[in-house]
Amino acid sequence: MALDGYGVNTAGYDQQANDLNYRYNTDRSTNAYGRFLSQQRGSRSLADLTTQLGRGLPGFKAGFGQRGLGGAGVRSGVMGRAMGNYLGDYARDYGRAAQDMTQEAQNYDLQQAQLDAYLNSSLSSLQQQKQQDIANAALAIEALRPYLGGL
Amino acid sequence: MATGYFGPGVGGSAYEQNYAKSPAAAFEANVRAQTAQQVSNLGLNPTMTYDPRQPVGMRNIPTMPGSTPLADPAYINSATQNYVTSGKTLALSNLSKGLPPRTVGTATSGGSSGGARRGGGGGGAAAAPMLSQAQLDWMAQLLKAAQPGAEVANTLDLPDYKGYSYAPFDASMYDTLLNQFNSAVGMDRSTATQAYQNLTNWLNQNQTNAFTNGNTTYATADPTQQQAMARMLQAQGVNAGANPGYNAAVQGQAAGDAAFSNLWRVLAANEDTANRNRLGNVQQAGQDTQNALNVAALSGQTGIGLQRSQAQAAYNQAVQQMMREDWQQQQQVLQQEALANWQRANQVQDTNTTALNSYRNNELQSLLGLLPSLAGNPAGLPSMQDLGLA
Repeated sequence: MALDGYGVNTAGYDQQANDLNYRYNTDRSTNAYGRFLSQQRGSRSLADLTTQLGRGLPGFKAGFGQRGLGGAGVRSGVMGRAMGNYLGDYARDYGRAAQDMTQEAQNYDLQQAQLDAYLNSSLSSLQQQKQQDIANAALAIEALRPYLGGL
Repeated sequence: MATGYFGPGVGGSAYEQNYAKSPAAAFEANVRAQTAQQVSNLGLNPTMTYDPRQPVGMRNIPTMPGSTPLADPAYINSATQNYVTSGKTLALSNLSKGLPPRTVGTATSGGSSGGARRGGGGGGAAAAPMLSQAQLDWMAQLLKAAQPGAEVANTLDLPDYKGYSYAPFDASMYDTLLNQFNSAVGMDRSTATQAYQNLTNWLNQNQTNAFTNGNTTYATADPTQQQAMARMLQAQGVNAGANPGYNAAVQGQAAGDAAFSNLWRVLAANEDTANRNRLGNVQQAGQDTQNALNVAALSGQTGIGLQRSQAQAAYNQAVQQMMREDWQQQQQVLQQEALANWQRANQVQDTNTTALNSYRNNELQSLLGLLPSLAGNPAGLPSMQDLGLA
């Protein structure tokens, strides 16, 4: 017997699945855009840091030359230490900025994965509900057959 | 009981029983007894009594003074008046009373006759003609031939009863209903099974794990950046490996990536668990549905079986009732048939008995009427068998 013989309308379930996909697509798109913006911001920050380093490093090194701590053939511990700190800080800041950007991206990726998981779970539940309704309709009809008279 | 003259079962008296043994001797003894009684009643001195052994003839008949001979028809008629005119069945006692002995002698009373003689006497009548032996034999044959034939009771034989053949209980309707129900149950069962199978197939084909690397990847730190940073530090005379800032960045990045990686794996495992649970729930729900279908099927089959049993019981009861009524009617018919046959048999027997009695009465009357002709007749009397009386 066809499903409509059991009084089951599967069109509702298909509509719900479509709604889920629609919501997923919108959320995914939004998330992707946010990820893009986040990466853009991070890239800018990194670029700014690099620019700052490019602009400041020559002056910083020149300062040591004026004091006779730098230049060709000069090996100065002070300068070395200062350079280490300066560049180390830069590396730290740059690393942190890069890490932030990466983690933001990871966050967006996590949200994307969660959207995927939510869609998977929703569609599975919807399909399960649909098939269970069909089975329950068959069970209900069978229980009523002796009383309905017409088999 | 002795078979008497008057048929089986008659002859309760001593005279009748003796008569059965020897009719002539019994008759003689009775006549002698009656004669003695009459002599006593009349107060006469018997000098001669009637001896029935002697041939009865005109010359041997002792007569009373002034009386007529024994052959007088009037005397005979009066003597047999008891049984001739009464119309009753002839009884030996009546016969003996009807033939009082004639006594001879001087009447002491000197009175006129009267005594045992009944009826009036008349003048001297003409003597009866004497019959020859051939005539007697011929008359005996006539009398015997006139014996009525016995009616035969035709028995009533109704057609043999033929029992009604009752149709057996028709359970085809219930069989059809049960088959239809089982077919519907099978269809329902297949529908439910197919539904859960479809769900299983869909889950196996469409279920995904969003946190496995096969579906998506997450962002990680670009290792080239750190390498470039290290080269830049080296170019500036800074040992990247010993630089705290650089090392902090590298370690921080690594820790972050590790933490996120762990999170990712946990979520992936959770998703796998959820997928497996869905498949397990489908199997469990399918089994539960099958069990419920089995219960519903059993309930329906039981209901149909109960209805069938009730219908069959009612049918059997009705058939038993009808068979009983049929049997009762059959017994009534048989009873009516037996009663009709019995009544008819009795009627025929009564008719035959009546006809025979009437015939014998008439025959005896005729024989008694011949007595005057037999007086002094040397011809032999016909036997009872020749007369058809035995």
